[in-house]
Amino acid sequence: MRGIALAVAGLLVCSAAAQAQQATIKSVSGEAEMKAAPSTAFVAATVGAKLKSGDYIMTGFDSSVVLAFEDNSEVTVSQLTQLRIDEFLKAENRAKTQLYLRVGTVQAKVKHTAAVRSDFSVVTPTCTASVRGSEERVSFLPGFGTTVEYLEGLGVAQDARGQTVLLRANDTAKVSHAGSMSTPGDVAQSVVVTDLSPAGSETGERNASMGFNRLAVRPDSDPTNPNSIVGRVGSDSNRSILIFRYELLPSTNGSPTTAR
Amino acid sequence: MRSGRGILRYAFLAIVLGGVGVAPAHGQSSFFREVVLKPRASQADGVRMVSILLSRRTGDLESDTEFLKNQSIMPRDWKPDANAQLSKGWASYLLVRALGVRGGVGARVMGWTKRRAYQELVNLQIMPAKGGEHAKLTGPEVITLLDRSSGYRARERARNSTEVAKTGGKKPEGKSE
Repeated sequence: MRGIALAVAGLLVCSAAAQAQQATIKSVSGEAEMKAAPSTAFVAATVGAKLKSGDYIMTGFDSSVVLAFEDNSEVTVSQLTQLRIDEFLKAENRAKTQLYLRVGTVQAKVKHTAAVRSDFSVVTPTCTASVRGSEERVSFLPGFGTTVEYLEGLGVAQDARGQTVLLRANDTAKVSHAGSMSTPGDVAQSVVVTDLSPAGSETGERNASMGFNRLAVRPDSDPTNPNSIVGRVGSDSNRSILIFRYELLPSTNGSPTTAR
Repeated sequence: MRSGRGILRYAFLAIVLGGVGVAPAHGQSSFFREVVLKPRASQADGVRMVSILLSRRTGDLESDTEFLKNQSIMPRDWKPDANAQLSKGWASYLLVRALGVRGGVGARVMGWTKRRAYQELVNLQIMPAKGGEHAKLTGPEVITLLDRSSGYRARERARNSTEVAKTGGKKPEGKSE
């Protein structure tokens, strides 16, 4: 009984910590439809309508929709696009948004503020594109694959094989239908073989990041440190294979520190 | 006063219409919803796609076919079949004519064939290059074709209007649009 009570309390704490958010349809041009998650019926999309996790939005020919998210991100859904909101959560100073682009083109403008850090990504069948306080355009057209263009700021694109690249403004990454990426960007995520302390150890993560990638990292006191282990591929008694995720920080001359 | 049978008829209609849902009957929206799920597109989908490109938002196979034949886009002797799979060559032929693509020397001298049309659209990056003109299109690829075709048309219009502006209002020679 006590265990159940603890579990319920834990769930309440979790739900309070990470709350599901809604996106609002800011404008509609032409024909657009939306589908609320449990329903199977599409209805006409109207200005002011709310979308939550699991909902679909679809645009017709020569049509577009602008979605406004509560973390001040804005997404323009272009013509002939089918998009699903996979995740939209807000927890304390972080907002996580994940969109699934089934077909078509979206342009996302993500704003970081001091109060809220946005973790914004667009997933297609062949690629995942993350936006870090910048503007990107992602299109997935079957037969041609995914194209990720960064119009402003920095971002990261990862193909279906796990290859990850860093993209700057005006960089474009193309991921073929088969899942291989071609891009001018730098590798921004690494699979590292190391003998670090277990995942979750802040010191270990930081040392590894610095040792393997010579990155500038934020000081311990910074609560918004985004560097973390995002996956553990395997380990034995002496070694662990870890996947690190990190954010690039501006170097002293103003240009971003690269991963190499 | 209405008869009981009449009231029943209205009640039945209300149930049927209610069952359809509140979604309005968007001709093109229902087409996009369905075609994206199809592993193989049909010739009817190809006809609908080209009709939408030419701003014909609603229609069935018969009326769309007649429309395309009247526009001299589809040859008179073609009989689109709703059950026949849509080949890349078949769709390409309709698209080059709908877009007013002039093509190379071969197309200009001997006219369009499905093969020539397919190769031209691959060159213009409208058609995915994988397979030949006999390869079949999937439903999602039909959406790709429509998106890329409208992009091509927009670029051509912008280019032509720029050239018209440069030539002082005269339409540049050799332009199809």
